[in-house]
Amino acid sequence: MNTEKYTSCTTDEFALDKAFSDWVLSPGRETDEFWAEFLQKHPEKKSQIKDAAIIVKAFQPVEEEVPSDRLEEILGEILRDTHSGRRRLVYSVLKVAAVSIAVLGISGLLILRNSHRDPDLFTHVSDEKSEQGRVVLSDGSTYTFDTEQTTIKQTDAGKILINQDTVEVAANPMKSNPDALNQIIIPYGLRSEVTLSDGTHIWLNSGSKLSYPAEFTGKTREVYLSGEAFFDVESDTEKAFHVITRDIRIAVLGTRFNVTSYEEDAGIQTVLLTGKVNIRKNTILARNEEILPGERVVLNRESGAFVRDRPDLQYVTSWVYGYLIFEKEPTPTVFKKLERYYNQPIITEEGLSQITFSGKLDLKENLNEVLEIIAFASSLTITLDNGHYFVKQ
Amino acid sequence: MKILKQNEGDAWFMFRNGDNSMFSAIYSEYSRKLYQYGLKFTRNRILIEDSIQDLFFELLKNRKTIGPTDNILRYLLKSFRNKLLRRLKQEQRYDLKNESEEYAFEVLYSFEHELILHEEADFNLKVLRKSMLCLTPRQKEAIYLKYTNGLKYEEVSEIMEMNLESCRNLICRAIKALREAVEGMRHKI
Repeated sequence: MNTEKYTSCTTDEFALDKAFSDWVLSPGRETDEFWAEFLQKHPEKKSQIKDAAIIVKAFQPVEEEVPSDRLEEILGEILRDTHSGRRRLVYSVLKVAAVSIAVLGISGLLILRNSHRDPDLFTHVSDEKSEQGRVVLSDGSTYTFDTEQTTIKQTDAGKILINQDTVEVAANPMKSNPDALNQIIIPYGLRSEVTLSDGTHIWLNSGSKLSYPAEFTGKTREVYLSGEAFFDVESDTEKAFHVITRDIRIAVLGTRFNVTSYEEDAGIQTVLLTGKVNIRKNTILARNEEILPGERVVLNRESGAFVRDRPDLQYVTSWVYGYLIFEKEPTPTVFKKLERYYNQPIITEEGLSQITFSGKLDLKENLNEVLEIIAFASSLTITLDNGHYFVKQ
Repeated sequence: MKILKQNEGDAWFMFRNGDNSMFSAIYSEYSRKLYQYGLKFTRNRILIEDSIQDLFFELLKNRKTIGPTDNILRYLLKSFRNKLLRRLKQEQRYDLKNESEEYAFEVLYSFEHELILHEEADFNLKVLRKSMLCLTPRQKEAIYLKYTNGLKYEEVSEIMEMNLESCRNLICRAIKALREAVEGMRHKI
């Protein structure tokens, strides 16, 4: 570069010069040397260069976060539209959606802030960029793992065992705070089996987050869940066990039940296998709803209503054992579950909800094989294009 | 994604000739930039996402007929801006209070961010902020394109659909105002 070019530069000209602003915004060894040499030759330019640098830096914006997941979803939409040859009018549909969101926002004001100690208890796991599972201790230390099926055990001595003998973490007793929570984050594609200090057993499905205290010191045993989990709660008649999701609280003494509370789903499902369970919404005037063994209660997020039915229980909990059973399930739901389980985008054509699928899928097989089975059974066409699966009639 | 940086003309050519991996590469390289640019015009993320979707859908659909470019970012920014502003206009038709042709372009500058974090920020920063507040939306946009996206005058003027001379003036006036504020700070000390 030629230093002569800059000898008669004004402050404004420095600020406008591309080479100058590139250096201010992302300096490198070569450019540092160039400008150091220039200043040595022309010390009278020092204050102008300083001012110009202030101006260039002042223009630097704070950019808002744009979630990668959202961008991938948009790409999925584009590819789907291209596949079907027409652009769907998303905006007109969303205008209607915006109205219902506003209504939800108002009812949201009634939500009791019974868990304001940590705002990210219910944040969606799919917003996480990491593909690794994580245990985040209350003191902030993080342990990662990428085994498909991970066992995690919180011992009553305050230790955590991850995959039996691989990692052993001793909680720092100096920093221990009875209210502080540990978090287990299981991204899509992975699963985990967790044992809490009271002996309660929890199976965490893909895309789920569980927050729990190392020790249950309060009057109740409280854990927070986003995603799906199957609970086998150790009985303790003195201390009820509470599962708190964004919208509902589930209170039990000792029992086995399954909870599904994914952010993107319209409803939160609780299915009881044995024992007795009460659930209530996280609103001030909510009543307790009792669930009987074999019953499923679904809270519709939009209407706020509870709907009950009696599903075949083996369909509900089959994921715990590594397979999925469906009985006349609309195919979009089937693909959504597979998408979470395998962490692979599957793009479905519209209007597939009339087509149902019945059968048993072994999740130990790879996704290609599983999709082939479904394609065969339900006469759908599934193609792999550019890393994306497309499903159409 | 570094392939794109080496030769954008080639990447674009390959995309136009049916290379789908180039399409994905172009999308992942630039979609975030477009989104962040869009957020300066509006807080309505739905409008932004819809414009991005529209833009890339049409690119794929018309890949055989679109022309060559050696600067993909400029091409995308320009047509994204057109789409977004058209939508914003449609929106405002229903908003009787807002009949002006002018659009908004709001940027939170990083030093302002520090002002917010530390309330008792020093006097100099406050002076600087005061003169930044006087910048018009068009000035802010031109500056954003030049300094944040690293574009040249020619590119900025093409994206903003104005002639080169007025574009240059727009930016020069902004720099001058800021420089006077900065010099003022120096004299105070």
